[in-house]
Amino acid sequence: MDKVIFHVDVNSAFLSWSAAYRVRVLGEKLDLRDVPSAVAGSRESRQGVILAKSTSAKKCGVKTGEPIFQAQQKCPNLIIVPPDYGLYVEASRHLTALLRQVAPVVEQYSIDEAWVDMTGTEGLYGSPVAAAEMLRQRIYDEFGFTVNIGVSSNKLLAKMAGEFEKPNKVHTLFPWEIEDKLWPLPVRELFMVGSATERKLHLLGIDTIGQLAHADPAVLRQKLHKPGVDLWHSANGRYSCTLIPRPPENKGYGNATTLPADVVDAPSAYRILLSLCETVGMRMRRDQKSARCLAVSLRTNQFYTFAHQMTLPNATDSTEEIFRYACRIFDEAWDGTTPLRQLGVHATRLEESGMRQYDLFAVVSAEQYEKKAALDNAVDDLRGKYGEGILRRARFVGEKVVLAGGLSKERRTGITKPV
Amino acid sequence: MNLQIEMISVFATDGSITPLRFRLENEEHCLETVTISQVVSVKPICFAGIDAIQYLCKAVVEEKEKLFEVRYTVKTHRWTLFRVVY
Repeated sequence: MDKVIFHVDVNSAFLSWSAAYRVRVLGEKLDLRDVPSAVAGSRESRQGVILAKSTSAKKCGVKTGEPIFQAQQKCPNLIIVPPDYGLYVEASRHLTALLRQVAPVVEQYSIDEAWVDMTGTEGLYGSPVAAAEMLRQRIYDEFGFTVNIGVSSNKLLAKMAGEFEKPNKVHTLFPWEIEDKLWPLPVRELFMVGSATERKLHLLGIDTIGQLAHADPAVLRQKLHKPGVDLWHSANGRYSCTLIPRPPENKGYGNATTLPADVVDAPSAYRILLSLCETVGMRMRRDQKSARCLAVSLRTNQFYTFAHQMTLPNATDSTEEIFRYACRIFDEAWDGTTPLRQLGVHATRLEESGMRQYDLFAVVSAEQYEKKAALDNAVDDLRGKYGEGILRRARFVGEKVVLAGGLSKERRTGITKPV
Repeated sequence: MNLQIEMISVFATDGSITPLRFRLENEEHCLETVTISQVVSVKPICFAGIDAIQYLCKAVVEEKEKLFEVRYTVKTHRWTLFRVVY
């Protein structure tokens, strides 16, 4: 039996949720969805980028991720509202709960997107399109926000169908509709094609998904390796992945932070790196993982981004060890003068913690290492029990940030990743 | 509209909540008390993921019958006068 998969995507989620709250709960007359508007972070901390925009703001050319001032240049009467993460979490939780009520298997892909396996529900809800219409209407009636539902026989096609005309619509993209609906689209629209892949495909003379579908898989393999062949299958509507009701394990742990003011000296940069290493280390220890590879990423005040990485002699989850290597990588990567606006620390090539090959020539002895590991765990426990501000390194005395990067407490939703 | 109001209500043994009488501050900053004569409809609502109970209630104010929509927000335990229907 053919599968029936829905892809449910909240239309400009943060904005829709804020708008639904203002209209349906606060009783405001103005619906943000009808005017040029956007949800954006705070301007003072320089994290003021557009997080979501309304349809009419989109028509003015406002893009998600661009700074507020840039958006306001394009659209002078843009209404900007601050994000309310508590509200978004509640809205997302209720949406997922409803989907789980309706369907047996639900995979939450992000805070505002989910795949729903509707196979075998024809007897309950009728044809897939009728079921999708019912679900779309029910979400609107109960929660007051709109969704797009893509209907197909696998996850990829359902997602692609969900990206068609918005808002508040149901679209189908069954395998027999690929030629008409999917192939004329630019190749960038295909799931998993980013700007880098798009550039490579353009060099091969591939501009549309149809051209990719008809390309020679051998050439794609040669130029783009295995992902190239996967994309070729995707363009032909073949995608075998089943729904994953639980999120998969992390492949790496990384945190980055945009600084309130540019950093121009090494000691300040070290301090920020340390606060990032604290966060990364804490997260790795919580999941009992150690990393063998460490990378530091830098973004200059000119928005030029680069990264540098090294393989560690031993897998580690110790904050101090991560910090020591992070500083070494940073020194190699930075010229010492360019102002930096963002720093990041990323740990990859994970292994299960618990075993360690001690190094004869290591800076810290095995005994010291064990002690430091116990200390790290004690600090984690204390922070878990009494809050993150309970303990701080002497280096951070008088500073606001002890653990940098990641989401602020109210934004840690636990929806796609554990809190 | 959406005014925060003070409410006297019955929390019954079966868990149902029935509003009886509420008080609000009017434009002249005087407290005005409204006694509900009839609850016309009760409906759980969940707009934007916020659980609440919506009540349509009749009351007589200044010798005129009025229909109010009041809401009880489950999480915050707050009552609001959402709108006056007529």
